[in-house]
Amino acid sequence: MARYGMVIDLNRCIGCLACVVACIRENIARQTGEDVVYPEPPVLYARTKPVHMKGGESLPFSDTTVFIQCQHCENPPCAMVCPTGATFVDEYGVVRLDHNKCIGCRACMIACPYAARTMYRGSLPGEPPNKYGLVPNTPDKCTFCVHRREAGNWVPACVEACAFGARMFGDLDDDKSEVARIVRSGTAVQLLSGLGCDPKLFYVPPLRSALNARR
Amino acid sequence: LEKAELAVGDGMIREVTTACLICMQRCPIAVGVDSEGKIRYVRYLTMEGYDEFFACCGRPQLIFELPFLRERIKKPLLRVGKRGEGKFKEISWDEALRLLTEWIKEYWDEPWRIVAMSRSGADSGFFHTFFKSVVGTPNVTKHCDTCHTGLDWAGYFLFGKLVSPSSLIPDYANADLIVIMGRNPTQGIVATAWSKLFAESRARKARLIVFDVKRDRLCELADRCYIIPPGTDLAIVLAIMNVILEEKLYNSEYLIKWTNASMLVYEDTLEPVKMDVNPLQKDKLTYLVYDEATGEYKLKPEAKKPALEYEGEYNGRRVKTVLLVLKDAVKKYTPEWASRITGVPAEEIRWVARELARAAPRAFIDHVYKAARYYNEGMFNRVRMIVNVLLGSMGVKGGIAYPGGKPKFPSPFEVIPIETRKPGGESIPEYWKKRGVKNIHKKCFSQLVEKTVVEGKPYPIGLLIIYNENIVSHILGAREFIEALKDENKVKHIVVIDTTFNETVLFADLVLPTTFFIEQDGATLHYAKKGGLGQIVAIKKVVDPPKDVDAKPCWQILWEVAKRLGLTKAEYDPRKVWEKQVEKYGGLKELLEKGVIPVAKGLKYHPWGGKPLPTETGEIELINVKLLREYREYLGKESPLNPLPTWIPPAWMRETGGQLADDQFVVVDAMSALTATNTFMRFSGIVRDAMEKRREYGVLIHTERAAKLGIRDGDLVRIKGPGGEMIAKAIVTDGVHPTVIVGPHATNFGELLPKEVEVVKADGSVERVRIFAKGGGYGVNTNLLGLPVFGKTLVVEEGARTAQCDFIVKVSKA
Repeated sequence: MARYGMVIDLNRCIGCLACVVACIRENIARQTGEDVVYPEPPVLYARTKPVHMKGGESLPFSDTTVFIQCQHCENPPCAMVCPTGATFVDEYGVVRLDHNKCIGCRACMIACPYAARTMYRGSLPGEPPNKYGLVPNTPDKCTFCVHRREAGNWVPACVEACAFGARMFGDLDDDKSEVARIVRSGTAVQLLSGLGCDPKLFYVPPLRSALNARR
Repeated sequence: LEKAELAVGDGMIREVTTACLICMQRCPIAVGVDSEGKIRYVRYLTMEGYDEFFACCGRPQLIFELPFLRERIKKPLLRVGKRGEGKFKEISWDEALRLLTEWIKEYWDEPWRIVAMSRSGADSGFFHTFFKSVVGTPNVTKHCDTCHTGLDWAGYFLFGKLVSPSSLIPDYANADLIVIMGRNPTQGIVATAWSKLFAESRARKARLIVFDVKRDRLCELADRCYIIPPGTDLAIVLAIMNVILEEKLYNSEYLIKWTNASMLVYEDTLEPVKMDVNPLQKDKLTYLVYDEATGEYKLKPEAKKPALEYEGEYNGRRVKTVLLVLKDAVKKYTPEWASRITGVPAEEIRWVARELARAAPRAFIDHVYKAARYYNEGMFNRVRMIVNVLLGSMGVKGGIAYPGGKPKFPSPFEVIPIETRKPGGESIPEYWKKRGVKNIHKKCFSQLVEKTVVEGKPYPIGLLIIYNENIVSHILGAREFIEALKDENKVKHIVVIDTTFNETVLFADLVLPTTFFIEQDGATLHYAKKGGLGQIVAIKKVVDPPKDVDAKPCWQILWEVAKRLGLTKAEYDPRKVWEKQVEKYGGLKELLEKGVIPVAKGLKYHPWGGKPLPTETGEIELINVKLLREYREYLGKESPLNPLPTWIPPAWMRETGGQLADDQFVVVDAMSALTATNTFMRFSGIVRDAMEKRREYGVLIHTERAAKLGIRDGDLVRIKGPGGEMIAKAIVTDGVHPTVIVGPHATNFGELLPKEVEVVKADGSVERVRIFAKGGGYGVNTNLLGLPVFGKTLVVEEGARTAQCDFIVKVSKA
């Protein structure tokens, strides 16, 4: 079984938010032909959102913009607490939501230590932009754009949009993949690794940070 | 839904290769469109070996939202209210084109009374050439005097030619140490290309030191970030220069070989002791030096070891080298002195200078883009460049390099037959040049157009035609401009060709809706250039405009006018023009197949850019021989034309002595990578929200200063400048210098203009269009707060370019 994951190199990220905008277009906004509509405020409902981390200089991500999104944990607390099995891990290691099973109880939102799930309580015209696009009143999350895999072109929209090479995606179990190489090299770290969720999202911390200085 | 989903990647998506024209970079992109005309993806059009310089940033990702902006102009409009009221009625294209043709005809015998303005990019080249060569007006301009003119003239002193933002390229990729001041490659005007290079070098561990008035993503990335008062970068670079010269940290070999540092000048007059024909370089002069090898005075080509630090007597007069003159000039600018002005500890400034020298030549103070914010920017940029030259970083690997070549396209007017004529009459810049404005950039005199409109000299403007240029927002002192624009005796007809309602459209008599770049084929091919790389790109139609939008490309509008004027009978076909333009470069078929054609590759590493410079000596002149003759009277003066490096306090500091009252601030507008450079970007709801999340959608104000005024985060504040006032949302933060109040550029026009436009539609119904319906409205626009004052906020010595952020405003809780 493949284990797909993502690496975000915070030193390559210049904060242009192409990833966020691309995610909104791909998964959130609805193009009706006469207009473009999205939940307000749109960035809150993007499946990857910029967050500025504060804190003292000794902290690894202090004074840095990181991206909050589903970490696609190996041991996802959101799936553990889901009473209906709507949240599940698929055969590629992607944590997903089955809209048909979701009862909207929001247990997953409370359980997620990364605050990676959001629920839009309004209404939107038309159809979601893809089969797994945002549906109001369900706890939305990143799918690694799994609909693109089904269409034979599995590059998450945020990775495709990042022309700065800050986002990389691939199979962590494939030794040849860029993500596996970076994770193996030890330059990328997980967030809150002590919780035991074992995320498949990795961040290369800022060069000036304490994490880098230790190496 | 099923169909759309399957479409991704299986061929049902139609992919169009084009280029992004939101900023001037013209990055090649590919846009995927489904069978329903929906934009499904936007990606950078990769090409091996060329990807270092181009990217597809957050802005083109937004093109799916642009056609549907609430502020979109949908039909040709005729003004029905007063100018500036925002009341229009829909008219037909036929009527609109008839009017425009009639107004051009009205001034056919006095074409100079037609003034044409547009921004760079889109089809501005077509627009400019049309008005210059077909209509025959000499008054065609862009607005670089509110952008990079300070930089252009700074470069003239060293290189004998104007240095534009793109004429020198920081070789980030090979640098070990990058010092950034006066710019922000992650947020600036042409952010993508710079940030692509920059981010890559940072990831490869180039060290980074930043000086700025506020903290943002650039500071997050930096090893060290110093927050300094606005317009004081000059003090830092003077002190760095002082340390490099005092501690002899310069690159002697480089200075002797490539610069006039060893030139002997008279101590009293600074004139070169002797200049003679250079036997080694055609049409260039050489000069007398002191040869340390023989202890004799010789012409440079004959000397074995020209001295850099020599002073003595020649024919009974005291002489010294240019390098020593420079050393004397900056002697008093010690790090301690700079520390008192900037607050940066002297030892840190000394450290930066030593680190630069240690890492040289793979180290530099970065080249900048915009240089029209403060009065002293011409001098700042000159001194900054001198520091790079002293380090031997100019034109070498890892330093500041020169770009590769670029293609030459035939003009569309040579391809498709049309009658042309030569521009005639006295132009606006010629008139003001006779009246004391120096160094006017021939393509950049928008502030002088404003002066002409306001003063009615040398003539009232007959037709002011503006294409994709929000000039009311871009010009300093726009309030004064606005009042003048209202007067039909000062400007008889105003025509605006644009995509969305904005500050300028409100003053138009005739509004012609034009297409976004994704909705049209470009009139001509474009050239995406950055660094040593260049690619020919074609702007292609990706989607149709929305059904209710009846817009035309600018080229089509102008061509139809030309036909009505009887100047051509031919049809304008962009692809015919492209075919001719790309003939020499591989042909149209290849361009259409690949999406881009690469034409130049590689940075030029040569201190002069490959051949002798246009200076009299052909060398980099640390004191410019010609300009010393020309601007001798400025010696000792706090002027950007002073031939020697000198401290020029920013205007706000001269006015206040650097001491601000509790409610006084220097107002600075910052670029955002999401809104620059096209002001329609601010109307996007996603942009607004992204900027809010980044805490830049409002004005940044320092915590302690805000507390003194009782201002809390999120409060509305009133900003009152000498030229006007506006309300903005306060973002209270420690990440900004206490002296300044900073907001994103051109995202606000306060109460100055109506925020609603009224359009009487063809069926008699009235449509109200709210400006800032989803985005915009709470940033700042210094142009609407300031006044254009010669010698203060207009730098008359540098072509009357602006010092847009160099004045004091009063801030209070609204």
